[in-house]
Amino acid sequence: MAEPLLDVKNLQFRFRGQDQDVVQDVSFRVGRNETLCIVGESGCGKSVTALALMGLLPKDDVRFGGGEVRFDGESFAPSDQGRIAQMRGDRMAMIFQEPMTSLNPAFRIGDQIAEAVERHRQCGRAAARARALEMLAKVGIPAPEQRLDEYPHQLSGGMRQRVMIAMALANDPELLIADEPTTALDVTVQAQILDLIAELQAETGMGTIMITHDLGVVAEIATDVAVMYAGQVVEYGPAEAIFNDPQHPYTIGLMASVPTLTGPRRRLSTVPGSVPSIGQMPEGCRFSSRCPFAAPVCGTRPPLRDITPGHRAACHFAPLELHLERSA
Amino acid sequence: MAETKVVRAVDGVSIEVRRGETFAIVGESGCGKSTLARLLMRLLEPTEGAIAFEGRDIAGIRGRDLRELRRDMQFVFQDPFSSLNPRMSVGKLVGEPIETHRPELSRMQRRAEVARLLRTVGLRPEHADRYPHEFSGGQRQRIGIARALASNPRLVIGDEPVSALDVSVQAQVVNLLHDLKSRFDMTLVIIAHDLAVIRHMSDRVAVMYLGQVVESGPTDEIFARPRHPYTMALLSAIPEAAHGRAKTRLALSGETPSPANPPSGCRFHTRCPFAREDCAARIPELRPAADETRVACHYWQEIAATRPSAGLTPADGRSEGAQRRFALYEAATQAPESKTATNAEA
Repeated sequence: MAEPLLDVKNLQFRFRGQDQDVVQDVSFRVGRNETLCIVGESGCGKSVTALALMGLLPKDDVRFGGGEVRFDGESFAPSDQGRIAQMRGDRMAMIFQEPMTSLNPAFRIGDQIAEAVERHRQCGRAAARARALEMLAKVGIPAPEQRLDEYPHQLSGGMRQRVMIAMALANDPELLIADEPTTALDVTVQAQILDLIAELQAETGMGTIMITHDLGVVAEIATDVAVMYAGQVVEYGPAEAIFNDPQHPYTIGLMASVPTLTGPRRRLSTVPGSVPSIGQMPEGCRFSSRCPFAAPVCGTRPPLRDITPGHRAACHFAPLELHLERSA
Repeated sequence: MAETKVVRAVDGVSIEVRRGETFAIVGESGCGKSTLARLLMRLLEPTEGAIAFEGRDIAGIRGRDLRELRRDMQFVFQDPFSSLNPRMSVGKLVGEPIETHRPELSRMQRRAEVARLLRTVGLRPEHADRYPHEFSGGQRQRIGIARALASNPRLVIGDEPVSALDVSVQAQVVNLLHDLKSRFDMTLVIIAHDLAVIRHMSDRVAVMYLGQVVESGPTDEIFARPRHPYTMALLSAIPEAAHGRAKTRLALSGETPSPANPPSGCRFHTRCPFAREDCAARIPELRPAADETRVACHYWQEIAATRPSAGLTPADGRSEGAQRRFALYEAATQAPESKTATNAEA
């Protein structure tokens, strides 16, 4: 198998003052042209995982517990955030949920995009500005020459997210990390942005990591899915396997609790309770405090193991039918 | 001198909510749905038009009449973090509306009532001594619901009551609202942007665009056979949580125009893929279409004829394998020995 673009192995870290890892043994890979969706709810560690991959974690406040990040064949220690950060904005780029807080309100958008280009390409101002204009046109901003000299507050939310995408892709990154890029947008605008990212990916062949809580978005764009709960990857595999053959009780509960647009209207399943705080994580399987199938064995941590080749789940009872029959 | 700009956030809206139903108002940002909710609640006064509650015009009432209205009609807000006073204990928060609306109760009776309300929404009576910051988002939304129930309202208006919550917790609150509605014989008005939540919860729905209702009718009918191009676009834009269900998307160009300067004629004509010349000139009225629906579009019949499958396919898009697992999961959460039988949100 060819080496993937990004290969994350056993990423593990905690914040200063905590006695538990916020991200524990997280592994996944992304190839060129592929889209990995990391899905999970608030506090599952999906965003801090992205920050670690971008070299954006403040190194004095984080204790890394090992693991490896391989990017295009080159190996990085996750704790070497400075070295990882050197690729940021150039070989890999990130877009965030709230474009208003990620753009500097005091600078014209053209200058903000041009700055990113100048910094990494060592080109002149004029060339950088030309690139900024080209990118604005590419992300579908009407009248880009005029927009170049506008400030972020003059744009709508959807337009700001397009500017963020233009900035992120200005240096042709090989990897794009998008953290909930459409969550703050209306659905019709969300559809436009998802289409835009897909188009640009088809054109450049970049690998994409999309972080989201929206299973609809996942179904639409993912080639592979990592489901995270409380800092652990509980299920991982091709999108089709995750949706058609969900294995981990958390994945199943999450999917069953989403109201559907089609089919009969049934009472929604729920995942009881809420995510424990980091100091109160149960030993072993962290989902055990909310899992309807929990048993004493869940006090030891279940390994993320292959259920079918390439489709992994971290549950002692997967696949469920088999184990329920056995105990019945 | 420059003319003063007037924004008509809600412009010429007529809706009718029937007793005992769940009525939904759906639309994207800036469509006027939250303003409409505040008008219904009399947190705002309409510049023109009438709002009748149980046959009585409430548009101009004040004083005691307004207090009585506030008792019969309650509000659940979107953000459980900013709608609860952080310096009040849960007992105080839930006790306050009881004190306002039922002053005849003694302190002991009030405390018993707070305990009853907390149990009703799936919390424990001893939670009364705690403060909002000690609770999760879902629990805070339960506290907000307990507050709304304190006056025994006949109508509860929820403005995005679940959109700030994580999906798994959202389902808990959706189910709770459903149960409370049937248990206390309430009428529910839900304002939301999430169409899947709307479909799940409501009997009838009104779709808003730029301050106006463009389509309304029974929820099942609207979702199966949307007639207004905006409703079609909205439905086709939602990504569905099922694999390999490619939809033909009716893409909209551009974004919602500013309500301060709405387009002439049909307000949707600037983004409508079916717009014709006269759509910019003639204002379409909301007229009865078919199957109890109403549509504000000059050409809905012709559009429907060219797009027979604009609605959503009726079958659940999720695979059989997945549904089997959902059934196992559901059975396990219902099992008596399961910790989920009682409220496990501690």
